[in-house]
Amino acid sequence: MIAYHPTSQELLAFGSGTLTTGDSVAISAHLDYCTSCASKSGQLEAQSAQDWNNLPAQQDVDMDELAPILDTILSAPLPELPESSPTASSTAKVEVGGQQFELPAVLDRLAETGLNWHRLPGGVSLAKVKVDNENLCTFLYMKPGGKVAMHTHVGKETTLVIGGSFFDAAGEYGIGDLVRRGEEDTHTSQSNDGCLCFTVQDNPVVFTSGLSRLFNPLNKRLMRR
Amino acid sequence: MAYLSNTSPAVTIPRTIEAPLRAVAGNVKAGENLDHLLTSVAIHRDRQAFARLFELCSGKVYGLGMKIFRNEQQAKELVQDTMLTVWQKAPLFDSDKGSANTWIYAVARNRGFDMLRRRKAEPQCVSSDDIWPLGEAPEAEIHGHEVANDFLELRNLRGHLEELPVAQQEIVRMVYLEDKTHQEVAEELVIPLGTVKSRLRLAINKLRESIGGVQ
Repeated sequence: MIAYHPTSQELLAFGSGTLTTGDSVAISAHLDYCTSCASKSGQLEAQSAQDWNNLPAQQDVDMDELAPILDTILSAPLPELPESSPTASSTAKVEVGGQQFELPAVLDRLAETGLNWHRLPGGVSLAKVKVDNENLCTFLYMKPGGKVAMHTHVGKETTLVIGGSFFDAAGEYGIGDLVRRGEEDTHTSQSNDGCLCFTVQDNPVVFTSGLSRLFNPLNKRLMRR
Repeated sequence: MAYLSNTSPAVTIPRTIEAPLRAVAGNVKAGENLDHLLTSVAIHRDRQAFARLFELCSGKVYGLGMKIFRNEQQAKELVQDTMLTVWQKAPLFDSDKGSANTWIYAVARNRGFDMLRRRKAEPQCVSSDDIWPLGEAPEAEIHGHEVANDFLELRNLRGHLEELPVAQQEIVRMVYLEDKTHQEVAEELVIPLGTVKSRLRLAINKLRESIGGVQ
């Protein structure tokens, strides 16, 4: 049962295309798991489209200037549409730590060229993917019993659970859950059965306990492009 | 894609199309057969219908482009990218899932999102069409013809078939009993290909349910 969802505001912004690419990818993947958010998102999109349609006619647009575009489009050869889109297959899997996880189509697109895993202490592995210029996006794997050491969020972090589950002091999170952490949020995440997540951070986290602090520079390096 | 109008070969627009284009672009009247126009473009590649769609929508897309880019050239580029996609991908439109207006808005949103990403020089590992698929191709979830044929005979589904809504029954019969392609069904019934697929998927799911969850 999915318990953590994007807000209506976020779904509205998602449908309007105004979120960052990283956040858009995370919400798109959540919609693959969550039919209620998918239908809500569809309604909000239809509403945005209606608002768009109801806008007064653009006064400064000269249709004479747009008319040649119609010629260009109609004179171009028409490509054959593939019968099925390549994103339609839902059998994409990623293997890490001896566990296999199914990926939503949009995340499969990110992972299809291969993930480059880095091990962190505590049975945690990270694979960075370059999605946009604003966020650090990673696939994060915790092996059974794995633990992300006590850390503080400097910025905003979104975590989507792809497989397995993890917990922290605030609760337990399962497949499809979209978990938010804000600034100054300090916590430890742990998994009993192993867990794969997709995370979007607009600033790297800072480890605040023990030897893990040694890894703070690594984290900064990860953020550098 | 670059804004190509300067380099395109000169094509004369028929007068009937040219005249309304020169008029001030008005609001699309509530439900003014946009659905019908887009369906006609999807099935018949109807150039007249597309010209009318262009006339009704390009000013709106331009407005959206100005909102995103605050630049006339880029707003025009968005009109070109969007309307080209509408022309090329119209068969993906599914009237069962939403209105033509929503679909065209989604196309404009996607093309605008990608243009913005190119301007910001973001990595191109994922595209807007991955984030917001414009139309699904549900065949992957449906059994192949042979399997489904056996399935119909074996499970004596004809009785259950009659419990389906008429529109779904019709499509199941045409595809599985008369062996027509999805495209042929779309043309015969004058509905978009996407609609054929989604109705078929709903019907198959319902049939599976009615025989007790056989997958």
